[in-house]
Amino acid sequence: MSSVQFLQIVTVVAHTTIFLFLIFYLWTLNKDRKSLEKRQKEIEDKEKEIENEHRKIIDEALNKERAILENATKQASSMVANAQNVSNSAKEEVEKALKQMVSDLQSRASDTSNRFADNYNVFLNKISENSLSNFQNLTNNFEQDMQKQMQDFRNSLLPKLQGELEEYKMKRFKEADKKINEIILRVSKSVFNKSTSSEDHKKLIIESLEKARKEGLFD
Amino acid sequence: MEKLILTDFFTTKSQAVDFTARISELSGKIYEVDFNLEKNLGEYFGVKKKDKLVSLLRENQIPLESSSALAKFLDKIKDTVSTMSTVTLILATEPDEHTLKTISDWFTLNLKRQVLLETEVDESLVAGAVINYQGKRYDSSIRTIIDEIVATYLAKNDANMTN
Repeated sequence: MSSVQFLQIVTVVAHTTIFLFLIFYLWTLNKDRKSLEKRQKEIEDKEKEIENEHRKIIDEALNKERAILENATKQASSMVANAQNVSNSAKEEVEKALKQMVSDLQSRASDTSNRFADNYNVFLNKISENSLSNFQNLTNNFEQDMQKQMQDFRNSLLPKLQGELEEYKMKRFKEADKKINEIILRVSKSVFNKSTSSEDHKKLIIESLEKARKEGLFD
Repeated sequence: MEKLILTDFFTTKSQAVDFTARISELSGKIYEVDFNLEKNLGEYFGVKKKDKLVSLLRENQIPLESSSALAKFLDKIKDTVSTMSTVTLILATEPDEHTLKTISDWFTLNLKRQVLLETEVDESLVAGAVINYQGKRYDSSIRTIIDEIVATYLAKNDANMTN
């Protein structure tokens, strides 16, 4: 057997082996696919089952909650109704108590005011009695004070006032004198200005110098 | 030494100060080469006073061509002015130059010396004068006389009213 023949035999054997291996591989692959499909179906069934259970639980919870709310509402309505009754009755009680208190207070106030009026009358009577007595004393004191002040006025204030009047009179006299002097000066000046020439002025100055010399001013 | 009378040149203190200042300036020019006395006197004092100054120099026998004699005389004038006393007069009106000259002459005539006048005006004096000299005062104004008359009259009037 030649080497070519041997190589051909080997090639055929190799091709057959590969072919067989491929068939085996495809068979295995198909088997796995079927297994997977089966498992997926099982999972889907399980999910459906779980979902149904969940829905059932939620429905039950909602039913329970609705029942609780209905119950609570009933209880609340009942409580409100009871509270209204209590409030009305309490209000009536309070009004009654207040009326009683007002009545009591009015009664007490009346008593107090009566007592106060009595006391006030007594007090006024006492005051008027005292006032009359005090007024008499005051009048006497006032008369004495007036006499004392009149005496003081005669003794001290009157002479002082007379002195002040005298001083004022003297002041006015001095002012009048000053005024008279000013008028005379003004008139004299006017007369001199009209009647005196510059030559006369010069003569008067020289006369003044002569008098001053005689008085010894220039010695 | 004979006293100089300078009433022709000044009567008041301010005029005397001005006159002395001009004399001093003139003294400074005397020794200049081209000094001309009459020309300088005319420039410093005017025509009228120049003539009076020339007369004064001649009266005092000062040779006009002698610079030293001239300088000595001008110094004498300044000394004379510096020794003059001042009299303050308070008058009712502003005195004119003629009145001031009359007053100044009165002093020269009666006191035998020239004084420098200072004047103030107080219209309330009416007339007359108040004279101040070396710290002394003499009042012979018409106002004082009127004041005395009025005071006497009012005193008599007051006495009559009291009686």
